[in-house]
Amino acid sequence: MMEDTDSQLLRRYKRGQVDALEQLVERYKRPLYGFIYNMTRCKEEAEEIFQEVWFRAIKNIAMYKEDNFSGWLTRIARNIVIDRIRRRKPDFNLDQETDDGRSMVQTLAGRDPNPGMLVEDMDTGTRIANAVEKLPAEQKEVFLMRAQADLSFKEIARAQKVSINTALARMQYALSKLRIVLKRDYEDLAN
Amino acid sequence: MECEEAHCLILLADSSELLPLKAAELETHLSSCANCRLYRDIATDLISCARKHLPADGPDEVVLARIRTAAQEQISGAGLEFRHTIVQLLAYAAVLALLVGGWFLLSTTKQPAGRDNHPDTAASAKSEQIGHINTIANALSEFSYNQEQELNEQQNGATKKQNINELAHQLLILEGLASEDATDDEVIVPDVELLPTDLRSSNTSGLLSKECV
Repeated sequence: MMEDTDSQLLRRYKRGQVDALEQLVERYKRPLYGFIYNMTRCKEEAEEIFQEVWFRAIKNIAMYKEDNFSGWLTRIARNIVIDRIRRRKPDFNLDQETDDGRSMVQTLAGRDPNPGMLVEDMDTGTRIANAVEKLPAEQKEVFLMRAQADLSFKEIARAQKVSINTALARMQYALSKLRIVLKRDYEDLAN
Repeated sequence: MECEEAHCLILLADSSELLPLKAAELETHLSSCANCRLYRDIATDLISCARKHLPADGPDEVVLARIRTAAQEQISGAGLEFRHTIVQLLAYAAVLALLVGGWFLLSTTKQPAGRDNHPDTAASAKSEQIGHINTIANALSEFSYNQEQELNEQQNGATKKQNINELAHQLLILEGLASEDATDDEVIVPDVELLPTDLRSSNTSGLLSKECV
């Protein structure tokens, strides 16, 4: 049995079927939460933002008329993440730890927790996450929107308010940097 | 095709945004460029590996429950507004149905004896139209009369009657049953205050005598 499309689920929800929205939440749980988590690298904050994204989506769902629901959700998420960063800047706690044991200082500086630790001692996800963390902000955002949230470059360009060519260029820079960082492990990752 | 352009197209192909024509051009380029084939393999592998291995377990069940609750509350609130809107729409529909139904009912009412004995079919049609227009004028008069009870009484009846006469005159002009030069005497409109139903037929016969010659 074919799954309902996003549009069909939205129509059902607008007609009063709450389970339709639950299906949408489930469908985008991993890509959306993954994007938020890898942007913030903090589970608590990612959960708060994930919840806030859906609260805003539910509130404005009557006015939603686009054809890419995941793009809309990701744009909302991105805006909330940026707002939080800007709002917290005055009170930013440099000693606050992220889930992978790094301090915010290290996160900001893009340093590994143990510079001497071999990359192959970490699990695959951590290696990729650390490599992504080292990317410049716009490139990291493009890479996560593409790889995690599975947005098209058209949607990515719209979210970042740049041209498609700029979004593509940022992705190419991100890939070339990741390739260098993960060079030794690339065959393992590919396998 | 240059390799720089090919790299962009490779990324667009991975996101399924490439048009068939461009996809064909890319394939032609890749068939003869080993560097671009290597770039394609690395790019797609990196993206799929990241998608597979980047941490993304999902939020706790508590968060999902809160979202569920918010969705339910939104539906309940929207449902109340929806019902209110439906009631309003039904009220408007009922008023409109009354007007249209009354118009149809009156238009199918038999004409009084002696009125429509003229053998000319066009004249009969005209008399029907005149009857319809007078019916509309009656309805407008009644509506206007009822509104007058609520509005400011500064507008006097003569002005109101004149307004209704002018409206009825315009309707007749549209139907081709009166000329723009016609005087008020030639346009028979029921008196607003009296709303006599019997005047409809007498008015119609009066107009016939002037128009259907």
